[in-house]
Amino acid sequence: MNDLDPVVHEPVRLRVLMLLSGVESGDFDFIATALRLTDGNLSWHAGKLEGAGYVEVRKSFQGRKPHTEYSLTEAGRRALEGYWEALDGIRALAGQDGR
Amino acid sequence: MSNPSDNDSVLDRQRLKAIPVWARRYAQNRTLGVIVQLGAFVVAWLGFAGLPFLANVAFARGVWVGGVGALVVLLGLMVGWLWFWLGGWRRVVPPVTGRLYGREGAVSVGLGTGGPSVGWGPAVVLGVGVVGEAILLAVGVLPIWLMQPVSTIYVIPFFAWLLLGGQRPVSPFLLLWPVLYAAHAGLVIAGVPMQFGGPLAVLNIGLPIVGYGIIAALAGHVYSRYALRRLQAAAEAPKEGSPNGGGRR
Repeated sequence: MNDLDPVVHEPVRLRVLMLLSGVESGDFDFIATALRLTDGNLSWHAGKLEGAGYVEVRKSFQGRKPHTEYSLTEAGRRALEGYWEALDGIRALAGQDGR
Repeated sequence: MSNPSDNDSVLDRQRLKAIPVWARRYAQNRTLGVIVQLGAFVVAWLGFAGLPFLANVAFARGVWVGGVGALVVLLGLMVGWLWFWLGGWRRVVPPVTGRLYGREGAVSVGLGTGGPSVGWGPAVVLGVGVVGEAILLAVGVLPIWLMQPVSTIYVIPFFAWLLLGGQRPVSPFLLLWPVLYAAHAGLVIAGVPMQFGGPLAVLNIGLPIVGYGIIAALAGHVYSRYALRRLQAAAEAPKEGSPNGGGRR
């Protein structure tokens, strides 16, 4: 049976991945606004996702202000698809056991 | 193995699947940039119409400095307008739009089903149409009341090129723009008295273009507010189960 990817399974990270799967890219403020996350919370989870190679991070400066932009990588897209498939598999098994 | 039942209670699958849908709708409908572009259009339009008039008055009154000054400003405006349309808008519009949506951050929508670019044909049709209609009006072949309906021949293809010819998806609300422009033409032909005469005749085309553009852009913007709320509702963060909690901003 497929295990659920612990990086994706975490609720905030799953939301970040789902959000980025709908757009080409979004910056830190966009993700924080859309998901209503604190800066610290988003930074923590974005770091985890970047470490897993699921999101690509591009850092730049807009004037003097640092600007961080995120986009879903191909590995992140596959991980997200795999997560839903694994969840479906587990649910199907749970349904069989319950009969 | 992770326990999916944790997620069953915390994550509503349907809501989660709605996140990318609303994110895309929200991003696609951030349309205030269109109003910025229309603002540039109005400034250019007022300049092109007003500066020759001012120069003419100045020369007629013998104020040569004023007349030459107006022509110099007109020349600068023409150069600036050309720069704007040949790509300069990319340096102006996104930063201004970014400031308008500053608190909500920046988001880019991916490549959509905009289809292949149709080239510069409709822009050329627009230019030829404007000049051709101006000539027909000047020689008296075309009555002023038919100005706007006839302009749909070149304005609607131009709108279609502007909205659908690009590679990126645009707000569906912006399609209201050509639809309202065409409906306006229908009302004029039906005899509804909604024309300007005399020196204001140019408003017969300019006002519907700008006015319906603003209406369409505002409709898109209002929808983006709705989409953002739906997005935030779909992404309602859990209050527990996260190492740092589900803190709110």
